Amino acid sequence: MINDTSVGDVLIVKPTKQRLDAQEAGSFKEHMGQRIHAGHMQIVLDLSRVEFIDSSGLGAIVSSLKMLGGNGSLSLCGIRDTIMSMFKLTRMDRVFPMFATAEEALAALAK
Amino acid sequence: MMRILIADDDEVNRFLLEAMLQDWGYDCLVAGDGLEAWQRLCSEEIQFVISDVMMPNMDGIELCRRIRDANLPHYVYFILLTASYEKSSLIIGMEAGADDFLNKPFDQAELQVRIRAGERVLRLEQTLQQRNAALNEAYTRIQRDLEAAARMQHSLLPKAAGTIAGITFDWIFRPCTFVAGDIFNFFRIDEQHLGFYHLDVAGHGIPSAMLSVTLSQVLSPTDGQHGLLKRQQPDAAGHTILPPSEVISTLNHRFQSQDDSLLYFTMIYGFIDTKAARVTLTQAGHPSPVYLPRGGKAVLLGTGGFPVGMLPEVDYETLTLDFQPGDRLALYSDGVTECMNQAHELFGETRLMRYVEEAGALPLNEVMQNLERYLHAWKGDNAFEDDVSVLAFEAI
Repeated sequence: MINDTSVGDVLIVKPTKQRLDAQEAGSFKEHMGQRIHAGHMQIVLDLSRVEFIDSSGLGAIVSSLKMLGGNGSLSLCGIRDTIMSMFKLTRMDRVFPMFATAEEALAALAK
Repeated sequence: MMRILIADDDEVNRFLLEAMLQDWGYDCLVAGDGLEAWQRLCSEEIQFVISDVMMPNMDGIELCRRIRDANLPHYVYFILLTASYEKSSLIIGMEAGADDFLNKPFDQAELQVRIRAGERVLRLEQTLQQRNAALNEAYTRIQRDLEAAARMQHSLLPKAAGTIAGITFDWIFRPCTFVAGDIFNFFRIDEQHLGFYHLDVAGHGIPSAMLSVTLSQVLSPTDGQHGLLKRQQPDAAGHTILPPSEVISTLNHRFQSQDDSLLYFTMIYGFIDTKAARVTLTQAGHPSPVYLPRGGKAVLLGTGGFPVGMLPEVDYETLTLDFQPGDRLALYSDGVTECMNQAHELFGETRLMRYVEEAGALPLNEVMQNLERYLHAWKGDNAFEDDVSVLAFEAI
């Protein structure tokens, strides 16, 4: 299950399952692909419900960024400590803008 | 043409029924009682039986029961002809496994539609059986192929734990399915240098395993004349060992995954300079290795690095450390640290470091055996959710 909320030009995508793993990665990527093809180019991925991301889940997030093709932006927010250490280990903190909350991510995009 | 066996002790009934069925185009066989019918069923392939209930030697109920108990290779559709006053034979007949019932004296049209219904069931059953056979065959073939693939992958691992040029090494390898996304190796690059790597392809299953096998070939020191790991010097006087960061950058360039693909990998590649007693390595998104200096405290090395094949044009860092006799280094996949116990608690880096430190006085092979047991006990069952592998070495 993934919830979408539009705020102006920005789409907030919030997976509601606890795990973003090999089982969920395919449908997550498909969901992101549909939104991007529908023209959403500024996306905030709210991970506050997600407790575990494996290598397939990480691959799906990076694929989404690649689908935006440099014309849009993908920010992350609500990242738990365990997931943050995985993002740091793989240097994703240098690839994605990261924020504590969706509001902060929106404020940064509005600038 | 459908063959139907009629079992009836009444000659007139038998004759009438036979004429009727032949008229409708069925191939008819007759038996004077249950026993005779049973003998014919045992010697010929018959899939349809119309049987009377009351017969000498063996009645229709017993005949039906025998057919069901016999576990014949094909299904036998069974219609029981009952007299309307034999109410109880309906229940007993159903229990014995009869498919349908017809009250005597029966209506011709009714018999015909009931036979047709039986034919439909048999056709469905046949289709199902064919599909099952095809599935079974495919399953067996895939199983065999996977076993062969697993053997092939195992053959790419170091042949045996041991000591090369003053470095002892050992490992644990537990793929979560037949084939693994994890692979590692330990080998001589030249007189002075030993190379090592440990890598984990994202996901598991066939695509990951295929990439891991390809990578083990690419990283082999005998791949090409000098392979990925060395460069021939222009004056042909010798070669240079390439820095791990450069090796990994080349891999990142060569194995850049397509936009729609999730196939990338994390790894550590490095080498040991046995003369200088130094280890040089690059960490590419792979868990930080555990370094245990002799008699000291275990530490995690490095802060990370980009995975390989995920993003183009990224930089990799190189890390160098002293590696004196008695020092140990352990590389592992996240299948170790993310191994979850029954209480949903992760094994974690801290537990791994503490274990390596506490086992510091044991020989390396015992450290690895005990670690494997520890992980099994931690997991609580044999079903690891990810490949579990560790490559460790020690200077002697």
